[in-house]
Amino acid sequence: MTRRAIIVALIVLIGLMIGAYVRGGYPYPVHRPSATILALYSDTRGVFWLEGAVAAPDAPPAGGNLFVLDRGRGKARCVFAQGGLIAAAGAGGPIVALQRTGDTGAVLSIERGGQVVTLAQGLSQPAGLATYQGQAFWTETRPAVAPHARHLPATQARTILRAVPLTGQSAPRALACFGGSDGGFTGELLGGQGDRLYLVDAFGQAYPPGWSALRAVPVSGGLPETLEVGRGKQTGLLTGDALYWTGVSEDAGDPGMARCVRRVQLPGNSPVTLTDWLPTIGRLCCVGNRVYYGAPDGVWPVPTRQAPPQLAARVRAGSGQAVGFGGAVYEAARIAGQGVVMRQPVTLWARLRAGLRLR
Amino acid sequence: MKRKLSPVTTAVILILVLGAVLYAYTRGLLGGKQPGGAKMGGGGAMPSPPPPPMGLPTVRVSTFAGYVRPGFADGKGWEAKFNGPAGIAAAPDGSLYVSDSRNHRLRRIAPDGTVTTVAGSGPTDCLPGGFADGPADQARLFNPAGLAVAGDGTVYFADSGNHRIRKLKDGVVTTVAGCATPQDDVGCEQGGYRDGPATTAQFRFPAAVALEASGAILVADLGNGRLRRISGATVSTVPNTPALREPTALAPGPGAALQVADPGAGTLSEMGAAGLAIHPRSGLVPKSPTGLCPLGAGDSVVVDAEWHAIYALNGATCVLLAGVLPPAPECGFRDGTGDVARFSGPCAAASIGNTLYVTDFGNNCIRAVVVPPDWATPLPPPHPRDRGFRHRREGDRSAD
Repeated sequence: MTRRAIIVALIVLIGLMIGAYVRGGYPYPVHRPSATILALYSDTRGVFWLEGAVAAPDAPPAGGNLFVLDRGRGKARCVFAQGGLIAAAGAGGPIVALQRTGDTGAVLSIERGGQVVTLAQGLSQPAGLATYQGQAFWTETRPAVAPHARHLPATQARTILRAVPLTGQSAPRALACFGGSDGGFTGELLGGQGDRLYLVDAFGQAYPPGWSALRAVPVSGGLPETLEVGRGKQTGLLTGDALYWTGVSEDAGDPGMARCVRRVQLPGNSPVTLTDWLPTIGRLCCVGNRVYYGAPDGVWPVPTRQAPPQLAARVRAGSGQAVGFGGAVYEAARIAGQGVVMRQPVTLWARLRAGLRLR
Repeated sequence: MKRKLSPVTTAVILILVLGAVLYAYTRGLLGGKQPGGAKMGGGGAMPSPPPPPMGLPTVRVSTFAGYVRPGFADGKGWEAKFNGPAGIAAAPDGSLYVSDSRNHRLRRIAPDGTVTTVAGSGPTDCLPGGFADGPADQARLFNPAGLAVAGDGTVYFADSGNHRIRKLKDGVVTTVAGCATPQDDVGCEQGGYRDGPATTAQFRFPAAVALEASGAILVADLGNGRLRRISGATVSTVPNTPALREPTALAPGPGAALQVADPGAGTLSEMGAAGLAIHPRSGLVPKSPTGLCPLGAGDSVVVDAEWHAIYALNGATCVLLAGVLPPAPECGFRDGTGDVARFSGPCAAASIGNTLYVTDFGNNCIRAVVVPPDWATPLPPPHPRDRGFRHRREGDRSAD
């Protein structure tokens, strides 16, 4: 009798778990902002984002306020409400953010409690931000000397990569410089591995679709190295010792209609293409050891070996800004005309928790 | 009394009626007459705007060396790679010298299209260059720009990022004029303005050089908005050039005049004994004249980087050779006739006979443009039925 009861209980439990797993496979909103989500980030403590008004085309970014949704907290909170933030980065401690006013700006260190320390100021067209080995890295762009002589790179805008310790105890230093664009740096700082900082540098944007270069810069300064050059504006992700980046499709007849994802094991192995035919708008993110491509139509897992892409979860009207945290992919989306931060559980445990409403 | 039609008669009548309708439709007879006088075809509901000015269908554009994707590689034709080719000059032996600006190199293209690197070392791909004289394979350049080749094969070039004028002779790079200037915090020289001995003179982003019959070197000093002359070992400023803003190209014009392209002011001027004069031109006017070169006796070619077009100048008349102008200026990569070919920021040109070689900066390649001898003769207007075929995508390799 007891044995039969145990078997029935196990069957019911397994059924409940299957039900919870299926139920937890759908995205659900975790925050409904009062303004537009400008950018979404994550670190080891939670997810954070910038909320504000979208800048007009060809105008400097307007920036926004910083909101944080830490692990174990059901509700997001605003930790910086003075506005003007255009980029943020974190590694579990204070969040480092770039504040921009017109063409100048500052690097701020914002504690999750709300205290603010200025690490650097008086910056020229700052953009891009990453933290690594106790330092904050960002770019500044100097405007072109001769705007009409686009074929003379020396006269065009110049982007400078800078670093400052997170303690704020020494002045910023310049690490490297590249050819830039008049609107400022539009690439991405991916973070560091070993003694190098990796970045995606967009160049030649004056002649669409332009190019992206994957570069490695010695953290202590020195000669940068170009790892790959690809067409259009691309995105990348550094996770552990693997570097992932997107490129135009290698398979599509019109390469501009789809993207592929490539990976290289650092340092210095030859890159391999993992998948192709992904949507052209999207961002790579990492959940645990798995890499995902968050696109406006959903979340695509990136296979570990070459394989066709398969949609893991459909997110309606996503923005293509995805970050991974705690077994889920977070994405800024629009539902019924209103912006939301959606959480899409992707791991078994996260789906079970979501299905059982243990959010 | 009703008379029955046989099925054959009915079919014949139907075929005739359908044929008449189809004929009328294709001849545009079903469309109403528009206020402007244009007739609408049966399938159109809106009057089509006048076509934008296009290049000549008698001009042929092809890719001579390099191919869209930026990089650094020697080889023949499309195997070679450039990254932002900025300047080009023809040598007496029929070869071409190209300043590969983002790679900080000088490249030579043999008449058969084989590309070799003749000067420069160090990082490529938009990373900063450097400065060092010496053997050509060890010399360091920084965004080289305009070039000129002397009769003895010496290549003079404007090293714009180093703010110097340099030369390549017998496999050795030396500095002709210019000196070190203050550096910014990332080690890039800022340039300056100083006349005097060549070893202490200063330039700011020199963009082009031209050789005078006297042996002097004229320099388009872009950052200072002036023309400079290197005569012997002395640098001086050419007087009476107040209208220049961003001079980027110099080329011999008709007679003894020197033509100057200034994309900053959007002007083409001629410098004679009395100084600089801007001549009014009829017809098309380039938006951003960036490059210049002579074409035959007294004619010249202008390259427009902003409208991605190539023009020819005959006296005061300007003719569009290749590209398409506003209201729909197009940038892209396409070979073919002058009306279908597309460029992406073409910036300099050199001519050998009736063939132009154009540096296509945005497409990272060198394009060959064959100009017919009768380019100045106006073409008859195209027949309306031929218009559709003018837009065929001949030689389209934009899908890189």
